[in-house]
Amino acid sequence: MKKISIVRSLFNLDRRIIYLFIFLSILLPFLVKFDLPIKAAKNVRNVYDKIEDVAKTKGERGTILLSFDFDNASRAELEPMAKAIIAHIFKKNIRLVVMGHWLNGVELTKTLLNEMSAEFKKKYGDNYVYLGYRPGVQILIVNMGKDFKSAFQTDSQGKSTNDFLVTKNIKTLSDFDYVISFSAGSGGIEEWVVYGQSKFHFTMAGACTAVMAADYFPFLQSGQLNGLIGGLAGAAQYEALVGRPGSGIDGMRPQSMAHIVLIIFILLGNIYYLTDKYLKNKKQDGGVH
Amino acid sequence: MRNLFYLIFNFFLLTPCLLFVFTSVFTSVMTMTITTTARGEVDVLVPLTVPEGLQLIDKPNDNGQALMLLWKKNSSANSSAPENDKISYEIIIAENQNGPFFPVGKIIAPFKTKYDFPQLFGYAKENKEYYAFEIKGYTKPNEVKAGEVKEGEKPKTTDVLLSPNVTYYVKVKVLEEISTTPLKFNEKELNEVLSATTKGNWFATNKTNSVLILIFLTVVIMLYIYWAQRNPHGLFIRKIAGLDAMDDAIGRATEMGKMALFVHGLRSVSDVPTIAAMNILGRIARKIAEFDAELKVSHWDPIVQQVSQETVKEAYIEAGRPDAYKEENIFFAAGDQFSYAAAVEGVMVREKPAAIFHFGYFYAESLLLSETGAQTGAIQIAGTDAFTQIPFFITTCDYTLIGEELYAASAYLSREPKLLGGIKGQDVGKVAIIAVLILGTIFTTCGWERFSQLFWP
Amino acid sequence: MNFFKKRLPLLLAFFTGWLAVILDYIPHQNGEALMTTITKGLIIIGAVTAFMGIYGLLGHHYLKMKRKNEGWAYSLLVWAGFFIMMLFGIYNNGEWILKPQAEVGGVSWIYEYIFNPCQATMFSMLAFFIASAAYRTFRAKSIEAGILLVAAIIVMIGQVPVGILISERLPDISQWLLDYPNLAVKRAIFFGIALGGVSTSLRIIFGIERAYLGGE
Repeated sequence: MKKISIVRSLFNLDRRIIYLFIFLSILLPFLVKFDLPIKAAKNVRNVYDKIEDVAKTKGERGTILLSFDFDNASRAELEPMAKAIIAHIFKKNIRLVVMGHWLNGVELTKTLLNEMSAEFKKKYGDNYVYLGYRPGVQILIVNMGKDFKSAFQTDSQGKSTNDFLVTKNIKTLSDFDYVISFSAGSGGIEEWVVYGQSKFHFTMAGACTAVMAADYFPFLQSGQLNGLIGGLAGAAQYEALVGRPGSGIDGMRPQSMAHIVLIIFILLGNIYYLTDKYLKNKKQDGGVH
Repeated sequence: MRNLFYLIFNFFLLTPCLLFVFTSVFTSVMTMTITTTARGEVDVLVPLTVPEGLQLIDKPNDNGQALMLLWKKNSSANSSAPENDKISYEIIIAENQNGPFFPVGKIIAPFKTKYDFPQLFGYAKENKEYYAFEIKGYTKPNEVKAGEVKEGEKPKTTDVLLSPNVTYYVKVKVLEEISTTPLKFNEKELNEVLSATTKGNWFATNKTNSVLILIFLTVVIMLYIYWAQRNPHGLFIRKIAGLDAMDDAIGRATEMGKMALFVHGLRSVSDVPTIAAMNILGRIARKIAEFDAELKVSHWDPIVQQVSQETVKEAYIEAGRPDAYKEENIFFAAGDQFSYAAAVEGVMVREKPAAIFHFGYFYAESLLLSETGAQTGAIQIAGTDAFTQIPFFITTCDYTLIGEELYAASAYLSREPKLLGGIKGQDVGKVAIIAVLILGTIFTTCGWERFSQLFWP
Repeated sequence: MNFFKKRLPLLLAFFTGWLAVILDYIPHQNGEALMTTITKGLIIIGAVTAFMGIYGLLGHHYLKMKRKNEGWAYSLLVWAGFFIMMLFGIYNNGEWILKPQAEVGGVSWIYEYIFNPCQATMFSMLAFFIASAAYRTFRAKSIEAGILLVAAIIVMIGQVPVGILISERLPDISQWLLDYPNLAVKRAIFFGIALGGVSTSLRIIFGIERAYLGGE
């Protein structure tokens, strides 16, 4: 009886104990540094290869559209991949257009672009343009696909998109050589695929939080997405491809540790469960005899 | 005033709903459904020295703002040779046969074939024998007065896009790279002047399969709805535990004297899961009004809130309890994902509802909401068509409606024959899809792709 | 009145619904122009909803404060937060409202140092909640649940670099699990959802489903 009650108490472990272990598994690897091997998955490599391809075939006339469809909540996961991709685009001298479907993402996008353009010495208007936020999501995408200039007559600062080298030749979404949506929820990859890619047939990729990645696998197989970068692990892989280690690669230590701790807890939970079941059966058998 | 709002709402919000939800979900899903089988790889292509059989045509299935330049693959070329990146073509275009001609751009290897544009030319194997290049616009030098351009400065240019219903004339120049340092080319301009007129198309022929499937599904679903109305007793719907438990959950709230909380997902009123959730809310509100319990509904979108208010109010009126309806209980929590989660969690922790219903499309906030609900000890019933969130709801809620069960809920709860008929029609559609998938898999595995291609976009 | 509340909305749904379906198959410039006009109108309507949200939010919290409901102080915080942010927005770092929002100043500071950490906190709570929910529910209660458990562990390890340290093949196995068994199930659910979506849309277009209009 006593054995069962001990097992039961372990079985119903106070959730705060689990929280504590998860907290430590995330905190400690930040303090103790060690290297982990990083191998780029096929879906991540496809994005890298496509940007290389745009650079090769289009050179400086190549234009890529990045849609920042996330806010601060998922910044930790999505910003590292955004930085790695922008670094890649800037390194290859490809023109960059940035926009966003999330109003709360405007400030972080501005900060990120200022930081990256300063690092790579890129000029606003000639190398990159920030269009800002417009409401509408699905409707906005359709509008951009039909008539880009009517959807974005001006950039985020109210200057005409006809005046920038980067945007003056863009008429519809199909004029972009590549579109990547960094998505953390509603108003992101799915809307881009359904209302953009499948209607206007441009090449596009997605970058999303780890929990959402599995949502988009069907689009990969059907060819509607040519690549997908999922979560911090995807960011780390892209950083490794570009050769620019950042918070993605740094984050792999705590993420790996947290996964291991979680697995240990799941296994322990199962051991308690099976022990409990065994003891209960034994007790019942004892009662019969 | 409310009627006026309602009218505006219906006009402007049902338009996107029906505009986008139906057509886009339909076409995109058919695209996905249809492209599940493997496609053939495009051959490695060999460019030619002089393009043979040049043709200029209006781009099919477009808005009349592009032309296609086609030429034949060189039959004498060795198909196993690597891509020849020494050869490129320069295209020039004019609105008059005698010019002036303006540059369109350079076509460099690897060239695309007609097969790479299936939306325009289909999937015929012969299409691999023709190269294709899309002409969308050209570069025109700006008019300048003498002395305005300084020496050494590049003249400014404007990019011009092709217009509909205009005849264009195109010439091709062949460039062969003979040395890289310094870069030298052999040039040869072809004498032939090609011409074509841009024309907008009234029907996208590449979507014929989509139209036929749309007609098929519409007819089948409508026929079953009609049939169900005439034979209301001939319909069976399997048991959905989550929906059966709804009465118990509401009953529990009534007995405990606590409220029931309905949490809407994170999509707008034009999305199907939100509409499905709204249908369920109507049924729940009616039961709650009958049981005389309290109902609170949280929203992420102000328009969804307006519609919810109307739905709940109508339900209370129908239940004969208009006095029990409190407009402030149908509240807007926050317009941001995690602020919304925080606000609703706050309500759960402070007011400890006896029953919590999560219906609609959820993202990462699903676990935050349902785990907090589980901690407060409420009976939780969830329903979502968001794949990734289903596991979280299953682990934290007492009952979870998966995928299409969410859509079927309204019919299940009301038992109205015409709604049940719709579900029956849907099942026939599903059988048709399964048949196509099985046949497609068999034929493609046997090397016959034509069948699958019938369903490709 | 019944005409404005029931019949007219249903008629509008019918006509606009089919218009949308038809426009999707017309690539012609005139069809495109009509679609662009409709979508532009919708963007404007979308922007107007912000005011409805503000009205709903402030009204709800005003009632809470007025009735001194439990936790009414939080409602006060909502009002304070709203007006402080709005005042900084109007002041716009000395530029006032007619200029585009300044990149430095009160709004940017509140966003960076209050809103940002609050949001990040909410998101990071997921890690703890996932752990607790997984511990409670991930049990090998049957053979099927046992298979799921093993697959989950492989995917969890395979998705992080530590998987490569255990075995070079682990990430590939993990990806295979995601690409095939997982995707097959998802696709099956997706077909159901898609058909459900089509059927629900048809029911709305034909006015069979009316619960969203507040009635049967």
